[in-house]
Amino acid sequence: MAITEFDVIRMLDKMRVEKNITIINFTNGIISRRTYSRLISGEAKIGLTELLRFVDRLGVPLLEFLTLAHNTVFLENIHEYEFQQLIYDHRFKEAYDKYYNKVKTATLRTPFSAGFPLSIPILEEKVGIITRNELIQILHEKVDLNALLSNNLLTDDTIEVLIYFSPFATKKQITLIADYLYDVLINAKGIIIGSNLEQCTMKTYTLLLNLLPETTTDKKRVFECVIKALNFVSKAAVIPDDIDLLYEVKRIHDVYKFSDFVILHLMSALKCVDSPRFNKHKKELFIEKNVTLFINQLSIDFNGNHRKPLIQEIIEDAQKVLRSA
Amino acid sequence: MPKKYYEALEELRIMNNITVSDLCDGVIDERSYYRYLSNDRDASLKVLMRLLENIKIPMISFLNYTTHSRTSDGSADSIRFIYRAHVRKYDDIEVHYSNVKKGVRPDKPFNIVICAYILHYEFKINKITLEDYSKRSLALLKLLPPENDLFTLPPRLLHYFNTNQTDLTILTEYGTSIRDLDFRLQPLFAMNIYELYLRIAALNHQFKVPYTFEIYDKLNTLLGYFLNRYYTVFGYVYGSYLEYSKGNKDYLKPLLKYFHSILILTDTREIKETADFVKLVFNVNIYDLLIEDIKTTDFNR
Repeated sequence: MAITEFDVIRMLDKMRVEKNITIINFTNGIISRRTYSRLISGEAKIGLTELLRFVDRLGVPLLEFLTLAHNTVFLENIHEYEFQQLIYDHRFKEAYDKYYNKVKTATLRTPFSAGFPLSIPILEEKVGIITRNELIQILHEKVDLNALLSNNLLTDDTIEVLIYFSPFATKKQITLIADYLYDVLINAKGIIIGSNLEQCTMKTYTLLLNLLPETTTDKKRVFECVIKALNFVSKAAVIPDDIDLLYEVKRIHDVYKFSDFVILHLMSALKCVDSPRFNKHKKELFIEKNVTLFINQLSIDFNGNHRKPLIQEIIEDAQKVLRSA
Repeated sequence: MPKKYYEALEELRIMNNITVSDLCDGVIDERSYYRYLSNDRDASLKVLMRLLENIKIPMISFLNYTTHSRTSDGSADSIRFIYRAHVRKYDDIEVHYSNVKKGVRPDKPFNIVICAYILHYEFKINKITLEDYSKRSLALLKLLPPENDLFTLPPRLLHYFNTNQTDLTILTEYGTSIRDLDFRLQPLFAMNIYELYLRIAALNHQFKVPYTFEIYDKLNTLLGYFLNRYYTVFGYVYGSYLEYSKGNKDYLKPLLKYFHSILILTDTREIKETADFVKLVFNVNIYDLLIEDIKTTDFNR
């Protein structure tokens, strides 16, 4: 469930109070005071024009106003985010002890909670409530993959579900998912609509890169995706989700050995994050060979040849591979 | 105005092969839908939300689409230009710079901010001299209303910063105004204001400028709302700077995070400039620090 009309009205009135605007001044020329009171108590509906005039009176663009309303709901339900992060981190025991009872039966409010009907049974399997076969059966019952993949609008819900479902999908289903993501991202046969558009797009690219090596050996196809994903990262501002995406690029680098800048990028990025989610990556990356590589590049950065931002260097190396493919 | 939201809804409906009948099912009749679409007749917010529910799109995602994906007017260019000029993300700034420069006149506070950032950018890329910058920037400042608010502070702070001023009284006066800003009204401008104020304080070694800590807290609060790569990097360096100003050795960890981010985000020219900045503010050689840190890091231990 996303934000409701009531959340919007609540935010409107909260900001009115914070800005010391009286109800008379706030409603003047828009609606009557009585109607405003009825709005607050949930007895009346607000028109779109009225909402636009109210937010204009507050001096806030509509998107920013609704982002704030949305963030308020998010912060009031922060346990949903924390639960999701623990599942992503594979910290199942902690997720179970802290949040299982809270998320199991509650009405979920945040955009990423769409994946909870899948992440909850995944957790149940990890803590021994259900067997692995039961888990797979539940996931396959809950996910209508055909319906999901026939939708040209890829939303937060779609990507959350696909992230949880993919590790349990059959080879044929994985190919279908990869083809769908390829169509949306590379062939522009669909569009992404997320509450946080960048984050949603980043997750979509990450999943595509994750599934690609399993579904194709076509170098051209792989590097088309890599370049498009990296171009997106170079313009996107969301962190630390970019580490997940770069890590998938690194897995592709492990196969094709196309740019050591991927290693350097990841090493610096990992130095900036404290979450235990990335411990596995840190252990893998911080080995003697890579440390030497890092020190050499640092010397070049301070004393030697000019280089572009790391992501641009990686893109250029990937383009060379694509041209030769 | 509501019409544009219905036009966006219609685009999404067509794109997803949903019939008008399915879209409107249980919410409104089809004739009403077409009326909303063809003129600016008002519909309730609830109607729009329920229609979106029928095609399974949350309101916030829908607004993201209408605002960002569909935006083709000049305002988006201005914001993109200001953002890039401020965080010094110059790799793809030129197209926005030339679009913005073509159409803007300093006729209202918002446009004066844009003009101030144009001057700032031209100065930073050595297109204009300091003397030229100073003269033209002063002329801009004369056009501003007297109060210090979200729109008038960026030109003033940019001028203070670029002309290397050190007048603590003025900085304190800005700090007082910044402390009381309601950042929610224009988060991008607020973020830029906080960042610039902290940068000036750090560069001048004015660790005791009033409100610095409060303004850093405000920057951090905003970062909680808008998790942005470049501004997060500012969070590292000013967090480090405040620890350093208290004589706390813990300043090194965020300082290293800051520089690792610089290694990722920028080219070698900017890396060297940032190393000079770090030397000036913290009196440390960041290259030596990084080498020592990377050599002693062992996540496998």
